[in-house]
Formats: sequence, structure tokens, C-alpha cells
Amino acid sequence: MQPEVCFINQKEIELIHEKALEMLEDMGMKFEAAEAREYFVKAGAKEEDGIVKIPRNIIEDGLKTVPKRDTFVLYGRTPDKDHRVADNVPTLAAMTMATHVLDIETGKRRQATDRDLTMITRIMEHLDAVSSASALVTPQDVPMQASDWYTWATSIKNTTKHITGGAVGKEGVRDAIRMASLAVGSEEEFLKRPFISFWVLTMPPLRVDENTCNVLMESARFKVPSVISSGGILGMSSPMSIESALVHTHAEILACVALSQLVNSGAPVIYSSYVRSMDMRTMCINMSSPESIIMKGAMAQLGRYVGLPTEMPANLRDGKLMDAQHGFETGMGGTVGALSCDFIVGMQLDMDLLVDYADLIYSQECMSNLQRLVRPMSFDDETLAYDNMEEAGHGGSFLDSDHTLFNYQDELWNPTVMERGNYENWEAKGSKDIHEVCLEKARKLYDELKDVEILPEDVRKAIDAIAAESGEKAKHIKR
Amino acid sequence: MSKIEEVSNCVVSGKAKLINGLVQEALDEGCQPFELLNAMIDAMGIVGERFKNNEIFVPEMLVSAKTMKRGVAILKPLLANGDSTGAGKFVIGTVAGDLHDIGKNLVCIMIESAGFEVIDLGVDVPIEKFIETVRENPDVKIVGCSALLTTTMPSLRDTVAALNEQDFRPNIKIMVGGAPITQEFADEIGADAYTPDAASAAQKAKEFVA
Repeated sequence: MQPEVCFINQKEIELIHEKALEMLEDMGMKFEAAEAREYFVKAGAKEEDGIVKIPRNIIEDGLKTVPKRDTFVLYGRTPDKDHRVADNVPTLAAMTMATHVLDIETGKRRQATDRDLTMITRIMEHLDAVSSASALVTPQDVPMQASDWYTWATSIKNTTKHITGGAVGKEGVRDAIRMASLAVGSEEEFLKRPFISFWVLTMPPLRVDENTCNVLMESARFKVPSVISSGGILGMSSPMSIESALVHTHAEILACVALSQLVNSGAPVIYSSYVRSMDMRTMCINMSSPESIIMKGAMAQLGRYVGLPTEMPANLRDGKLMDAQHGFETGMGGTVGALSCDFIVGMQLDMDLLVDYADLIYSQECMSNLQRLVRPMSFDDETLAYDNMEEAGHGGSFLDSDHTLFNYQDELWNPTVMERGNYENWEAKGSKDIHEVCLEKARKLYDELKDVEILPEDVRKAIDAIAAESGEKAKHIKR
Repeated sequence: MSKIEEVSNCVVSGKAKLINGLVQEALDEGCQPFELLNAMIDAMGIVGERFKNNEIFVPEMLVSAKTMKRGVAILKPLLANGDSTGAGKFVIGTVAGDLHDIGKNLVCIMIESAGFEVIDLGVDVPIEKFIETVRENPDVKIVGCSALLTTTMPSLRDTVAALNEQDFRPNIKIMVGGAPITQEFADEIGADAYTPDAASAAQKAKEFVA
């Protein structure tokens, strides 16, 4: 069986779903783009003051036509980086928009640059457990209003993996698609295997701003996936009870899914949620609080219930450096994420503001560990190995048996940075803690990848040109 | 316990429903409105101190602030012109192009709790609106502007630059904030202060008017 963690049972899931449908019918959803409201009205919803009251049949029809988890493929630019959700191997997806890094040489916190994004993306290209090499940092040294464009350009130039990013309005969506199309030769080729997707973040409770509506509608038109997330904050933009937060969060995602299907039936979406808690003393949001992680698990269950691929930010750590808090948060969030959703958004510290190069290696190690943890057992002749038992006999040893030799590499997870030896050997290797080990590995990769380009120069230049000309249109868009 | 003490305790413990009755009783017994006002301001000082010492959390502080607000509403018509109702006016908004107001709303709450009268201009506030509001309210002490996204930081820069050119600039302080904002950025664009969170924003604002 596939091991799973459950925070809500079937009856509770059905209750939440039902309450969410009722909420959309009675309270409705505020879509701030008139075009979005028109789609709903045309389908039979009532509009009042920018709010659409959505009959359940619109939601249910949308859930029928949206591509389901069992056939969903998260495309890479090249097929070797495709990820089939039905294989049930959870992977890491890079979060976006951190503003700071710990400098790889000095370890000091400083603003992230375009060079950081380049190198971080190149490193992620080599981390097997990472399926989406999205822009972990937003460079602070590019023209700021157009930083979404520059971020897309640098990401597309430096990875063959999937990329999820923010876009600014319809033009932002179209320009990101133009850049991605350059990387595969044509828009036609790109649309066969759309290897980028767009964040669609609601403004809870029950509101979607105009720009976000536009991003959702435009990506649906192209059948490029939207990662739809509603992320309230308990006691702030969500009520102070997880149960209530789950209902409106689920409702908001359902309304957005329905809009995508009204625009273009069959448009792909991923079900996500940033719903989280806030510390009532410091008023900082907490990405790794127990409540936030409970909600990630429960939302993943709701996403599965409606048959969608799920992506949950269960590995954004509140800790500021790779210390024991960071380690526990990585473990707790990661374990719940791996046992409940398809893509675990992570690889940032300080909630979602800081990236440590060493943590990239650490996150890869933890995810690889968790992939083993959640792998289903399969009871067959090879695994039951009765012959092997007979061969060793009572009180015998299996160390030199063929069964051990043939199976140990697959059966046992093999760490690459975690310490497994005895104290003396660890001491002989320099008594290094895991941060030091990870940092060394990150530095080695950094050096190796310094000058590695994966796209021809003319393509890179054409992509850069799209970013360079974006300044004027970016200026006038609200976000 | 005197009536004034009761009013003070009522604010500290955040019993919003009782404050109107208590203030009225105190007035009936002959307490001066400004005495009561000062007692409530002092009570909020105690609340702020308790918050700083981690004895209470934001929701408790909020209910105290709400209690005081109700009490002040009764006193307002009775106060002489010269009696200040607190620390002054604080104009706040997210800059043009930025629609994210959660952090800004937290700052409003904390600033109000610190005794300021908050003029909340909401989100996506054009530069002219900030300027106009300060012109219309000569007693504005502080203008707070926020930007949540790196993409709206240039708009914050433009807003502060425009405020810096106004003739009223010497009379106000400009505070900036938002997740991607740093002290260096605040210095670079010519703001008077940057604070990393709502509690320190309130602290800083109090220092400015002290």
C-alpha cells in the first residue's frame, strides 16, 4: 500500500467539500476582473457588486473536465525531466521569490542577484529529488518593476526542469511562454509539452485580484498549467480555526479551477495552498508551525479528493540558518508532505525569504530520504525470498547471500551527506557538521557549473531581449 | 478602587463592553475628561509593556485598544480643543501598484494601540493621495508606506521621493516597510525609518513623537 498521512477522514472531507460548495453558492467569490465574472454569468452564476454566486453545477462541471492526477505529467523542457504524478514519488518543487541568500563564500546574508539565481538554478538541475527548478530567488539587481521577466529569462536559460513562476497579467504570461518557446524552437513545440506553469494566488478570504484572474485565464487559454493556491493566515485572512480555514480555502481553489475550465475546458491545474498560521506575538507568518503543516496535509487530502495533482509548501522553514530548528522543521514538514502530496514546495529559510546554498544539498538529501520512507512495500517472491531464508538456515547470516548483494542498493537508502559511520571515522574526516558537509558539496557543484551553458548563445540572447523590452509594460500593472 | 482606576483597569483587561458605562459613571462622579483620557493612555502604556514582555499577545492588545477607542469616543465631545487625544495622526497605505495589505493592516493596529489616530488610505495608493492627505491634515506626524513585492519597491522609491520634495517634509517623518525592504533600501530612498515588523513600527513611531 501507499503510505499516507490523514488529518481528516472521508466524512470530514465530504463535509468540507459540501460546505465549500455552499459557501460559493451563498457568499460567492469576488473576481476583480470583469471578464472572469462574465464567464461565470454566462454559465449561469449570479453577479452582484463584483461577487459571483456560483451554483454547484459550475464547480462540478469544472471538476469533470480538469485533467486528473492519474494522467497528469509535469513536463520538463526535455522528456528525461518529466514527472508522472501517478508514479507516487513525491518530489521537491523550488519555491519562488526569496530576496536574500547566504553568500556561498562568506556565509553572510545579502541581497540575491541574477548570478545567484543562475547558479542556484544550475545546481538544482543536478538535484534528482527536485522536479521543479523554479526561481528560488528574485534577483534584486535587475530592473525591479520587470523582475518577473528577468527571473523567467534566467530560469529558462539554466534548467531543463519544470519551472513555476509568477507572471504579471496576460502580457506576463504571454512573454514567459514566448521565452519558453524560444528554448524549444517554437510555440507549437512548447504547447505540446508546456514545461512552465504559473502561480495563481487568491487574496483570501474569497477574493481574486484582477491581475491574478488575468494570469489564470490566459494560462488556461494556452493550456499551460496554473498552480492554484489560496493562502490565508489564521486570525488574519482566515478565521482562527483550522476547520473553517479549510472550507474557504478549498472553496477559493474550486472557484479558480472552475474559471480555468470555463475559459478552456481541459486546461491543466495543480491544487496548492499556502494557508498558514501567524505568531500572535511577533506577527510573523509561520510556514512550519504545526498548524501550518496540519493544513498542508489536510489540503492535500482535499486536492486528492477532487482528483487533482497536489503541491504543498510543506518545506519552507521558519528557522534562519541550518540549525536544529531548521532540521526539525525540514523533517516534520517534509514527512507530512511526502505522505500527503505530490510536490513539496521548499528550499527556503526565514519563512520564504532566504536561500542557503548548503540547504539545497540538504533538502535534496532529506527529500531523497523521504522518497524511500513513503515507497510502498510489495509482497512477492523476490521480496519475501523464502529460498534465501532456507539457504541461510536457523541462526545463519545473510551478509554474503546473493539476495543481499542483488537487493541492498535498492532496499537501503544511501545517504550522501548524512553521517552514518562511527565517531572515530567522523573525527578523522574533520568532525564536520552537516552544514559544513553540504556547503562543501554546494561549492564544488558551484565551481563545476560556473561556465556551463545549456542553451545556444543566440537563443539566450533572444530570451534576454524579451526581458529587456518588458520595462514599459511592467510599469503599469498592479500586483 | 477609584472610578479612574476602574476605567484604567477596564482598558488593561480589555473589557470593551464595560467601558462606556464606567466612563459615564466617572464623569457623573465629577472626574475631568482629560484625567480619564490620560488614565486610558497610561493604561495602553501598561498594555504595550506587557506585550513587549511577552505577557500578552496581539489579540489581547487589540481588545484593549478597542476598549480605549470606545472610551475616547464618549470623551471626545467633552474634551477642550487643547486636549490631545493621543500621539497624533499617522497616514498609512501600500504604494501604487501594490495590493498587499496584511502587513500594513497589522501596522495600523499596532500604531492605533500606541495612541495614534490612523488615516488608512488602503492599498494601491497614488503618490498624490499621500501628499493630499498630509496637506488636508496638518497635524499628521508620520507617513507610513509599504511594498510587499520586490516589483513594487520602485513605486515605494517614487512615493518617498515625491514626499521628500514637499514643503511639509520637515513636519513629518516617513516610515517604510514590507517583506523585501531593508534598512539600506530605506536609507537609499531617503525614508526616516525602516522597521522589520509591526511592533517595532509602533515603537519607532512613538519615539518620533516623544
